[in-house]
Amino acid sequence: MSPIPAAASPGAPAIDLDQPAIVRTATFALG
Amino acid sequence: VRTRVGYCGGTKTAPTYHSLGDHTETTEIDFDPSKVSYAELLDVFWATHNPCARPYSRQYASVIFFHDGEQRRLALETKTREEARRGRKITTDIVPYERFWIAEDYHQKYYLRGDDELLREFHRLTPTNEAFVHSTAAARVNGFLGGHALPGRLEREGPKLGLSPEGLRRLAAYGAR
Repeated sequence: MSPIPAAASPGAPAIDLDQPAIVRTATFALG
Repeated sequence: VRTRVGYCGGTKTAPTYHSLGDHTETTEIDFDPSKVSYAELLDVFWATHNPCARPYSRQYASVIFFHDGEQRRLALETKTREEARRGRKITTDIVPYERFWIAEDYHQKYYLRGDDELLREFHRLTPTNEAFVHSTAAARVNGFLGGHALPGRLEREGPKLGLSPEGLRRLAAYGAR
């Protein structure tokens, strides 16, 4: 489950707006 | 795509840094499987800490929380591979993901929080804490500041980060160090 990105602000970075269609999640604890 | 830190694996409801209960400090990574595979992320996992060390405490244990059967299979396979390669027993737990509790804001984007100028730019770009924590640009800049830029990446992605020309110059200067 991925969190739903918050609504973009008017000056939001292009990279925040340009999201992939499929996102997977990995969860790790590194000691 | 984005990263966040928090607490996972325990039974305590709503853990905090100072009241962690039986949880473990955890990193969560949202990734685009067309760009990077889970197996590649596992390679980074095994390479960036000592999974053979006896866990100092539950808080600082080495754990893979798998989200599905494929992640479980790859985690177990690569653990066996790493044990054979190292000739030592690995203490990493491989357990099903249940719930991730996001850590307090001041733990998120650690390196970026250490640069007041760039952080100020993100206050403008991502006005809410939630937007900041979930921002791909903030995750990228945090990675760059932590010294994890792949060659050519800043040049390629810099213009998309929303930073001012001064902010971008500042970020590039870190890469040159």
